[in-house]
Amino acid sequence: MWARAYVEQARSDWDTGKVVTATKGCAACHWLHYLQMTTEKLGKAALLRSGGDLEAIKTSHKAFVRFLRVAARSPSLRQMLGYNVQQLKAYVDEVLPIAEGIERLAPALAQQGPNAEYPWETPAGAIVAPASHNFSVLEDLRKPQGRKLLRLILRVLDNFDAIF
Amino acid sequence: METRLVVLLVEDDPDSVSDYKEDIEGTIDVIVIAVAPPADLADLATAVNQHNASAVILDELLQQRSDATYLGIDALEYLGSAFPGLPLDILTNYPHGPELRGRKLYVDNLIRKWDFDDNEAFRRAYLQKLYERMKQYRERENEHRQLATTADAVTEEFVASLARLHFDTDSGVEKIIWVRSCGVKQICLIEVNRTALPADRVEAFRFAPSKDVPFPLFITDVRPTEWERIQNGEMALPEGWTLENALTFLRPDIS
Repeated sequence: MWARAYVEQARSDWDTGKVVTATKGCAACHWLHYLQMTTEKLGKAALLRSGGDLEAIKTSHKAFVRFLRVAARSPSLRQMLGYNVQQLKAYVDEVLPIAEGIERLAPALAQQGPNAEYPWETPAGAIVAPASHNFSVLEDLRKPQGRKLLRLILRVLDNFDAIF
Repeated sequence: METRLVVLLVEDDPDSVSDYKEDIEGTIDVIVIAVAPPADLADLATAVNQHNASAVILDELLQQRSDATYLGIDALEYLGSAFPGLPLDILTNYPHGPELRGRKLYVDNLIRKWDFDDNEAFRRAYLQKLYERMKQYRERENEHRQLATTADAVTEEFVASLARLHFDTDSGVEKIIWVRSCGVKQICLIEVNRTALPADRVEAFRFAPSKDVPFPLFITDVRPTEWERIQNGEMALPEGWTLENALTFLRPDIS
């Protein structure tokens, strides 16, 4: 089934991202790239499990943030986390801006600006490689809200079948 | 199976815990479960859920022997919002302390420690009253759960209660359309949300059945302009969804 395969691949992206972060001297863009791919595939898996059209979903890069925006209204996610609706809403509101920042790392959404994969040109004319760029979302991920987002992604990966 | 109601005691002083537990359990028919204040308020709320607590008694100064980043008054406000109606009280020796000044705290929620510790009549009266509040809270909670667990088919009453919850959760939701053509074994909702992300198609998320909502639940957020396009037939709904016989719930404060 397509949803299951997307979750499996999202999990593999997540695990590879962990290996990358543990690799000395590895540029941060590579972890961000795997994290962005994890969330993109996880969002797509949720839409596929929901009966969405595969061809349409393949071209979407925004499914994870869309999922987060309705997440507080998910009784299965609330049950899995042991949260009530207001708690989960507060949790999601905290992590949503960082999730949006990760989503925008996809080249298709970066509008020829900073992304985790390809060099881009700044308005001043400088050519920048992701490997040498200081991504602001990296700072966000180190904050408590960032850690909360990472924890949520992992919980959704681990409990996909119970949630969707 | 244990049927006694649970009081969650949030206290950072282990010596006080055993005294309070003995006093409370010796006066009313409840179980006192003591927890050290967790660092994060969200984890405290999780403890309320895990123990199915019917009341929470908090020490005010929680940071003396714990990693808590909040005071009892902060926890009271947070839990009050997360668990509407849950009895919440603060035990303190410093009811006029600076940390409480200017905070919205009803006198009924503030218990002076010396009264509780030394005045048996006060303690007994307070705990009897607390017990009544706990029973009332638990009855309301059980009514809601019964509505969920006894349902073997989706009813209008049930979807209406779900719609109310969603209006309360997201202030951007203006109206909710229950797509009844989905059938009686699942719930499909179009939620017209002015803060929804723009989309060129309607995408619904399916959530698995849970204790509270024992049916698969499909939710799609659409913008008001997209809702107009759906009604005009310019934007397609997911397969199997039609607006025939659909029921619209309006946000209570705008209807």
